[in-house]
Amino acid sequence: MGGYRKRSIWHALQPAPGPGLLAGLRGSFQDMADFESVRIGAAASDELYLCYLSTLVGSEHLLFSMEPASGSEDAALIERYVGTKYTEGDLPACVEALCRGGTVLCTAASAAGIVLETGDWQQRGVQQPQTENVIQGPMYAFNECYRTNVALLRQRMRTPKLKLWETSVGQVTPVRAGVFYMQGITDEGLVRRVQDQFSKIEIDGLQDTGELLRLLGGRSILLYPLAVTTERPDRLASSLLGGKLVIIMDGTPLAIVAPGAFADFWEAAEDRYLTPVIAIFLRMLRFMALIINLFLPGFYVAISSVNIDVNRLEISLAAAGSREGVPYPVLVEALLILFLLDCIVEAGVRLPRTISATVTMVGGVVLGQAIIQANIVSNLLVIVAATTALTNFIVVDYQMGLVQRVLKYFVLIGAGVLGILGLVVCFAVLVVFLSRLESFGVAYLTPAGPRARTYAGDILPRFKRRSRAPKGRAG
Amino acid sequence: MNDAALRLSSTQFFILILAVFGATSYFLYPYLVLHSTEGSYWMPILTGVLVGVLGAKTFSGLMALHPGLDAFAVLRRTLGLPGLLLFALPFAWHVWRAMVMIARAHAEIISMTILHATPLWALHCIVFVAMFLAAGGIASIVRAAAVFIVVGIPVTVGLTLLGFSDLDFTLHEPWDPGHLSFLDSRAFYSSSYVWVGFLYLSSCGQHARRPDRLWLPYTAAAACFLPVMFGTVYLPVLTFGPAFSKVLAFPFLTKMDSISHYWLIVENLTAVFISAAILFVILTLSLMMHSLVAALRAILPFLPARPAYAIVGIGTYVSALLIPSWDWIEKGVWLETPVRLYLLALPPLVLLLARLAKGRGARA
Repeated sequence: MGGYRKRSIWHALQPAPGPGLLAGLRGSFQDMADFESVRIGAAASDELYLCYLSTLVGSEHLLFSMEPASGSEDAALIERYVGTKYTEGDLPACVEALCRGGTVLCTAASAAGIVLETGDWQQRGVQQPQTENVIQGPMYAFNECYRTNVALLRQRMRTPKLKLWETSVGQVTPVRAGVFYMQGITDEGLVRRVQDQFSKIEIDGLQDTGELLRLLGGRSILLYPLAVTTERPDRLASSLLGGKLVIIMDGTPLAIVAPGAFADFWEAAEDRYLTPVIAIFLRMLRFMALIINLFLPGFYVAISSVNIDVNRLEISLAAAGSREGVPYPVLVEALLILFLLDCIVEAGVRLPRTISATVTMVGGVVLGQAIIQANIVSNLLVIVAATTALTNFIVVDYQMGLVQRVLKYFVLIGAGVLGILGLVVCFAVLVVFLSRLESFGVAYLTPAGPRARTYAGDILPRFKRRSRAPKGRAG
Repeated sequence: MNDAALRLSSTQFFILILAVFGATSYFLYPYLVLHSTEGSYWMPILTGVLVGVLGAKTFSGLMALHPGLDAFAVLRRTLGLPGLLLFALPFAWHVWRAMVMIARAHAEIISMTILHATPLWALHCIVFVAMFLAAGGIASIVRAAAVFIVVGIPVTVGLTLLGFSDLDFTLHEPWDPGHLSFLDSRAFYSSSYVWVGFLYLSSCGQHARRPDRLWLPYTAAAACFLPVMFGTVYLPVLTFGPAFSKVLAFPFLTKMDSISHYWLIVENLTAVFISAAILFVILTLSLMMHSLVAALRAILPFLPARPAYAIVGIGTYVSALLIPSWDWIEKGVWLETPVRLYLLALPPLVLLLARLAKGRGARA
């Protein structure tokens, strides 16, 4: 932040003469109660105005002198401007500046005005991550402010090789977006591809990176999220060092890490901070949870309704005994309990925290007990459903967890029709679907099979390791 | 994915070949081997391996004539349009027949063993899964293959190993090396469909870094799968005896059915085995479809890829439905044998002609 002496700043801030700016601003911001154009005095032969949106401007940027200084009359109006920069802009630039909290200094007759950066955005402070908690590792996360997020990432990666390309997205309400990449590590073809994708976006406005990701992903996005979104600067830093690029957007704490592979969604932030054996164990645990979550309800339906002979007789008899009195087919019974369970989970997520605990208790315990006693579902299926729900919460990425919740119904129906074979066919269909997906030009199933597409003849270095020789300290 | 610039590693070719072996060797193959000779079952198996490796070697030589091209383009460049037609037409015929047989055979096996009431038209729908995979290109096929192999091989090989638990070695036949009666047997030549998996790589020549070494992954896959093949033949023989094994339609599946251990939570291992093997079937069908579409597009260059895959997929599905019974499958495998052997013999002939032409050119 810099301050300028009144005389020197005033010589720099001479507005260009010409008609229309003030009238244009008043016309553009008509019927906006928080728009103010304040006459603050006279400049040379004309009146001088400050225009701003009072709800976005901070009071500490402009200091007015109560006592006019000696010398020229206008020099007494503003004692001091405290801000990072000032620019000159025409009507559209001034409108855009006002919308983001700037103040326009102009005369009644000028065609261009001086834009002062006086924005005072309301934002959360830098807090602990909301969705990616860790036991070991950095304990802060992004917030909704673009500048803060850029600063947080720059603080982690103190190198001029960390490049930032900026653009704005949205025709009606433009929002700032930035693409971070590491010079010499990230593939230039990938950067160009993302820049091209940005230039093709035609939308009125954007609210979140999830929306941006869909627009960047092209036609290939249907079900699976094609890139990891994270609010942790440390995770972004390690991804950048691994050759990926990071897209951040104003107004959301979640940044996109591109390209993304299916395996990336099962990597937690703290995996890199643990010993390799523990990290591998945890990742295997998550993959097992993925398999159980997708296939356990279907497996139950398959072995208790289609392939009854697959199981040992004792287990089949136990399953049949637990279903005694249940009037529905197993498939309907399973669909019913999974649907109820999803309702409980959704209610728990949407409600305020104080109420959600009660809802979970009522839904999970009371309803679960009652539903068994009423012979609507078997108690074995309740165990299966509870295990399925539990394993769904192990999924690291929220978007991937939602995909899992949808896909288990697909697998369930497959198992209901073809039994064990249906499970395998559903698995095959999912793998085939995944094998055809690409995230920003990179195979979604990487590292299985051919790794990456070629950009300008070079294979994209997706998993660049830090194989460079360690540099010795000079001296 | 930019398929033209795609390079596949030897491991990826190995995985593809492994999938072909997995799809073709468990069901009809033991039956054919058991009917090809009276005692020394290892001889038709080993002879088949050797013929397969020799075939793969000459096929690699053919591909190496013009590196960076697929087999159809190589033949066109070497022998002109007649050469292309001499290879692509019988190849397309063979692959289409093979796809129909594999799809129908597996649907029949599933219907006979685990899903008795499910209609065949529903079971044949795996053809469309394979079609969807094939339409994604060779990169998608290889990626899916990597996952399928990781899941399918441990299950199928593990279940095969379980079959070792209750063998009676007194039931074995003498290992007579002079027993060459299988060379007169129709069943032996019919079983050659297992060994021609390298032909399905016809459309992959341009993805190989060294086409002349394409036979190495084939040989490695054959060597790895050879013990399993011995198992598919010898496990039923050493469990039920040669005479009883011969009358079984699926000796190896029947062997699977007979496995029982108190610690196994799964009683019907056949269902698990067939379900896991379906992954190989899907992969093999997709690889075949990919090569068939490449052959069709080599003959008819104006044919667009997506409609070609749709035509091939729907054609295979309908043709498989039209087969009336299992007997027709056995007959079909035999009737298709001459074309298969012709395709095996063609690459060395082409190599010979190419060398003659080169020698004549050098003299001129």
